[in-house]
Amino acid sequence: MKRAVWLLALGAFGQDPKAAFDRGDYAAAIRLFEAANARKPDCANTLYIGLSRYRLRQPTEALLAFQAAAQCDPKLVAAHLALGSTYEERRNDGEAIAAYARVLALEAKNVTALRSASNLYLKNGLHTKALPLLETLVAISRGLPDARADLGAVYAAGGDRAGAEAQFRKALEIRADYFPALTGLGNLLARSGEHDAAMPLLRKAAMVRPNAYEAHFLLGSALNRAGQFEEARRELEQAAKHGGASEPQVFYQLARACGGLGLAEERRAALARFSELAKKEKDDAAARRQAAKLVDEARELLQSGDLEGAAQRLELARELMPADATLLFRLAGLHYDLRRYDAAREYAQAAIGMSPATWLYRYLLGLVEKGANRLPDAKASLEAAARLNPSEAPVWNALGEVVLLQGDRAAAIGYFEKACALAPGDESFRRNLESAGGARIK
Amino acid sequence: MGHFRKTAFFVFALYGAAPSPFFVDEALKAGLKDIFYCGDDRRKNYLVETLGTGVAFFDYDNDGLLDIFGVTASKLEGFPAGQEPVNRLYRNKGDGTFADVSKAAGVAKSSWGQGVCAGDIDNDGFTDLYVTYWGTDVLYRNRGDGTFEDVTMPGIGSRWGTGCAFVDYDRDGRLDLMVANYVNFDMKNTPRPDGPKPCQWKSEKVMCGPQGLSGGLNRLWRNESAGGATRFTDVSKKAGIEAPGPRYSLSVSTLDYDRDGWPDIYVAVDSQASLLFRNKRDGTFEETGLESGAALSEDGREQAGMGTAVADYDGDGWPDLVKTNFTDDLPNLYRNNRDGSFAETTAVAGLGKYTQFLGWGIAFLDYDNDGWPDIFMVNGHVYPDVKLGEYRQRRILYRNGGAGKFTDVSNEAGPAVMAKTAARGLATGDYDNDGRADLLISNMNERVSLLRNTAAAGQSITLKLAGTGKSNRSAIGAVARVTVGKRVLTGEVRSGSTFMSQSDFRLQFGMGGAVGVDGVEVTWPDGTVEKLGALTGGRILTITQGKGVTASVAYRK
Repeated sequence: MKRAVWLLALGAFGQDPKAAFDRGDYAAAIRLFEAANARKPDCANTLYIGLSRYRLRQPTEALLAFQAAAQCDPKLVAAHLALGSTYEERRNDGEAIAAYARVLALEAKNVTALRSASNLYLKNGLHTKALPLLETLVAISRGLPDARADLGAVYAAGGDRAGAEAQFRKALEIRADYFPALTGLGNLLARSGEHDAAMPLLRKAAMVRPNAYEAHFLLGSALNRAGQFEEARRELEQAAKHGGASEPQVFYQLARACGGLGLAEERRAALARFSELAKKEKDDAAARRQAAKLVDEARELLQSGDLEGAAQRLELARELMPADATLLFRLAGLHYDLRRYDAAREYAQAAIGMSPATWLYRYLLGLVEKGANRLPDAKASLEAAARLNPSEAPVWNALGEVVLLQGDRAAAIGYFEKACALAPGDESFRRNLESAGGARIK
Repeated sequence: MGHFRKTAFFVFALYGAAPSPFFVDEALKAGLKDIFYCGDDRRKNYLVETLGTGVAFFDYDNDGLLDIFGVTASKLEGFPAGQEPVNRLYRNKGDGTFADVSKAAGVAKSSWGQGVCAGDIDNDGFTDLYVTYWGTDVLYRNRGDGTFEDVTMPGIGSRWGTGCAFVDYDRDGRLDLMVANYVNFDMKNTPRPDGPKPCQWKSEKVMCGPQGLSGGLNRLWRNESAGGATRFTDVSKKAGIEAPGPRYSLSVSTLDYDRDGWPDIYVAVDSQASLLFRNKRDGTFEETGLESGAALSEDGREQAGMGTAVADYDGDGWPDLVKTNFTDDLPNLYRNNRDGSFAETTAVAGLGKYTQFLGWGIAFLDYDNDGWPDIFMVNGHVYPDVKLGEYRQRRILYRNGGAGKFTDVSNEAGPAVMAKTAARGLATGDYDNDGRADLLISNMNERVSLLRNTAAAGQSITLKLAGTGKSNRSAIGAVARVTVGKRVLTGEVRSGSTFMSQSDFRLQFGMGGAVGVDGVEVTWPDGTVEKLGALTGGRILTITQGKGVTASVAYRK
């Protein structure tokens, strides 16, 4: 987890120190917080449970606790930050961005959220979304070289060369050896033909982080432009060695250096490697596009009632994008509707594995297990869904149906009552409550 | 009063007179008022509304004055009957004005026109035209009496033709034709920005394409005309033009990049690798874009190639390439390495400063006649209604300083260059025969811009080449090498190029302060070499293959 979130946890609640937590006895802390919650529910306690789970390297359970804390108190900034940070670590950028957006809706100038969200936007190529966040960040925290360098990169991508140069230079004023600013400004100047100004920056970047492929790549490219092919080749080989072996552009530049040196065979080999990597990149992008098209087709088939056809399209899409949680969830839903519970379970569990704090996935799994008559599993899933989102009436209703099937009428009435209280106009919940023998909700 | 005069004099003395612009837009004065359409200019719902159209500078009536052909598309909703825009042919009256002769010439066609290229397909001395369409392209034969006849290849089919160029690829003396095709566009199955599945650019809803749409296949037509009958045969597959598969091809430039005497073909491709077809001298081509280094950006990225131009910008006698690209990118300047490959020199040459421009037409021209080809490029966005892109953009004039470095002199060049339009097509040519290269620009949904060169330029000489025998009459593919002092200037007669447009066939060589050239060497399309001695500048000289200078006309003052 990011250090900022961890510190925040200590800072935000440090005034009422939790001894077990503070001394690092997280298992004890969890027990104590849970006991405290049983006596008197407290959203902050739930957050601490999540933080403890995280420290115990139980990220899935931690996510569930963070989600529960955020549901419990939607204004609990620390819970949203923790969610964002944990999702970010799990590379679920969509959920992470959503969590940071919730923080920024509560605190527009939250530095951690501004930094993290802008980083994620940049990572995903959404420069226009990153821009206002970075401008806010720079305005409120003038001493952050990373924000300056990021803003410089966004300005550069948007064609604002002067703005980019100014931000990179300011970042270097704050920290003369700040790597992203060195590479950013060096690259900007090199691409503008200001070779003499660019080279010292890129050389310094390569010295600051000798194991980073970017510095060697940019330096190699700049040397190629200057016709210094021998040194360019060395730098590009270093780039390939330090993480750039799967980057097609490294080999394209290497081919150029070899060409400049008259090494025809080496040039051909570098171009062949470039072509291979570029093709892979292209194929991946095409797969993403094709998967999106298949999902669209599935949606249309679903609307026309062709569930079988829709499922086939989604299966094809899954083959192209096996790690897409939403797609897996859709597949699970379709198989559930087709009463193929084994397949539905498999997909729902896979979706939960990727996004464990999404109540909808747990809810669907609960329905699947109920359909398959695996009532204890259904109950567990639905309880998890209810913890993640206690305000969803269908979850409580489903839970009531499951425990009723298990013969626990009293518990069922309790769940149906919750469902009816949350959705008083829903006839099916009311009928369930009545048939379970519960009081008629007025 | 006396005091005022004194002050005014002082102010003028201090700041000097306003600098003279290098170019002045004379379109309205010249009578070029017609609007050339391409879709809506408030919102583009479909890709077909974005490319704009091409223009041509060519002398259709052989009176020694460049005439103008302007292509128009239309609007998707159409026009009221009788008000449809038509392609225009304007005859140069020689007094700075033009007369619309479209109807009389038989070329006033209304459809979704795109590009144009010129060449004398039947070697009768009159220049013919090929016009590309989103639809069916049209080949016009110039009858030589001021009118054209439609001699389009039967069964040519409907495509989205863009750039084109006549080229005698098999050196049989008859001009063949290369046509770029963009997208197999099906409006019914293409999402709109306001529809349920819009595409996005920088998080804004925009029209879709070309990515995700089916690319077009480029066509090579072999000229097999005989006995007065025009006949072109599609040899695309046999010649290897189809080998790279479908691409989003836009502009075509021909050049002999390996100087083996056989014309090669460069095609700028949108969102994919651009194509360089090396002529294998046996009627076939090999695509060498990647190997030659002219297909991708310097980092190996595919770019949105739009327009292209060819010239020997560094004076080494070998043709170099320049290409415009989409916004957030740079143009490419590819210097010929003289070994069958190119090195991208964009940044080193000073063309790396702007990424906000979306470039289209691009041309080399020596606007100041110093003997070094300068670069002119026109720009304009494809999305009129997005917040993060300027739809109408200024043009850029880069002056070649002579050491492989270019400087943006647009501001000094004057308001005609700095004017913002959604520009697309571009042609160069000396329409007033004053020895200075002028510019013709097509602006989407506006009139054209006619930029008359008013720069304080050096001396120049203009060569009009006429092929005979096994060389095509237009002399397309002929290379002239002109010696001026210690320098040898190189020019090639070319069809098509820039962006869907046609420039003057005549080759203009800037001589700086020299009054003449020390010698001229012409390599004709059939491979024969003809050498001429010293020639006086300030004139337009016609050189007919095997006969030397056959006409000489002094520049107009």
